[in-house]
Amino acid sequence: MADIKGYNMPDELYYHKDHSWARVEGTKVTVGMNDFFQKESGDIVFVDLPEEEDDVEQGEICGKIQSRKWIGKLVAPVSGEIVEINEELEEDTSLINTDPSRSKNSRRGKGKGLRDEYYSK
Amino acid sequence: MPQYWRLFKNHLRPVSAAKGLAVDDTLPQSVAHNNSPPILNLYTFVPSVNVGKYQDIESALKLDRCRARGIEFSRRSTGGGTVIMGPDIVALGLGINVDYPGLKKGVGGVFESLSLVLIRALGKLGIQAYFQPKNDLEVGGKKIAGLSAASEEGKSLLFHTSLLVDFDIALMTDIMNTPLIKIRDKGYNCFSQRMTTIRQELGQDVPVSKAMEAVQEAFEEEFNICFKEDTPDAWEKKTIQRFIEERYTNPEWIFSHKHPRARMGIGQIKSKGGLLEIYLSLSGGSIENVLITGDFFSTSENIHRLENALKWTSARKESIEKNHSETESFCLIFRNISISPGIPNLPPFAKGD
Repeated sequence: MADIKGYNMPDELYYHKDHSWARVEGTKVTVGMNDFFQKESGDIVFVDLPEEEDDVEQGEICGKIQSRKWIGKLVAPVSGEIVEINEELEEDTSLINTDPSRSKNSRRGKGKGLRDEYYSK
Repeated sequence: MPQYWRLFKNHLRPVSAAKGLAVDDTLPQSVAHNNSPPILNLYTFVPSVNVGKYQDIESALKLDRCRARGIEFSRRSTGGGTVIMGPDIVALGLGINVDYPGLKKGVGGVFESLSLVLIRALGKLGIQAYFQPKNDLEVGGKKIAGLSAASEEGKSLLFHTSLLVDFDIALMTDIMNTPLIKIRDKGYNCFSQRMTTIRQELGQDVPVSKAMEAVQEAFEEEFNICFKEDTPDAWEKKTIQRFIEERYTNPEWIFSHKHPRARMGIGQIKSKGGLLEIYLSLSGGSIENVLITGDFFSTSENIHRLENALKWTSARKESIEKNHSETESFCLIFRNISISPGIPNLPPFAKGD
């Protein structure tokens, strides 16, 4: 667990410069948005996720996240295929605000290219 | 040495919903991919209404009434709720890089920076407005402009505003689906207590062109820049046409099903202080709109403050209680009334009911 300037940034996650995180579990990667993003955005009201079986490229905009009247980007932190999305978010987007480092707020995918755009693990 | 921004300006002829929104969508694209400096687009729409990118248009609007009255309807690419547009409302689109000097950082910073411009513009017209966090401009507790934005390609941003020179509340209550349509006169009064216009504030027939000039000058002063009036170049014209075809004349975009479930309802609480009525629209698990009325004494400004604190926040009990308690002045006035945490249990309306 790391507290960086008041933001909760768990050590076991990789962090992308566009505020997404990635948790590596074997050949699969779980992705979410970091604590900075959720605090900056405020209450999340909608998440427009990619579809299962979509291919995404690292750094690509693969979804959108709305908080109040702002629509922000969901940038793929890793290249791969979407194998599962978090359907709980369809009914309760506040999961991103209440537990950003645990709620897999976008997808799980077979990932590659982790080192290219990450700050650090 | 001031920097030059581009200005697309049209106060002579209102544009269609498709054209106006497509030009606005092109602005951040041109900043990101066409090497353009920031572009400000000032214009007016034909009588029309647009919903936020992730709003359920069929729940938000009475489309049969829109068609019967010849009101165009569409879906914009920025967030937020339903916006009525027309020849007496200044539409503002801005494409800018989020790192532009003078633009404050972060979501809140961007809204604050651009609010300062609009406050300055209204000040030039003789109206003292202020920023009502997090997305509105108000005058004396009444909304005069709404702000919305979307982060686009690279670091570019699209910012949208509608500035009310004049406004037809009767039209709004006729074409919008809100819980208030159940009680037509009350709906009119509720909205008229919460909205104002430049003409209403000044008591005179201010031309739309004058409001546009004030906005233009305010941008120049706030960002220390000069505008060059311009028109879309060839790359931009092609992009505008692409957005018209892919989005604004495309039923898949306009009637998109990518949105949270919309619900509406009315809650009534009989308390010692009198009857409290809450008109509520939910977007998924979030409060999209809330209006509070009842048999109590308060300033509309205080009530509006509480409503604003609740809008676009989670409808969960703990979130409502937190936002309610943070709106301290309201709590002090209504210490003995508890806002019901049981909002999801409100009796739902059927669509178009």
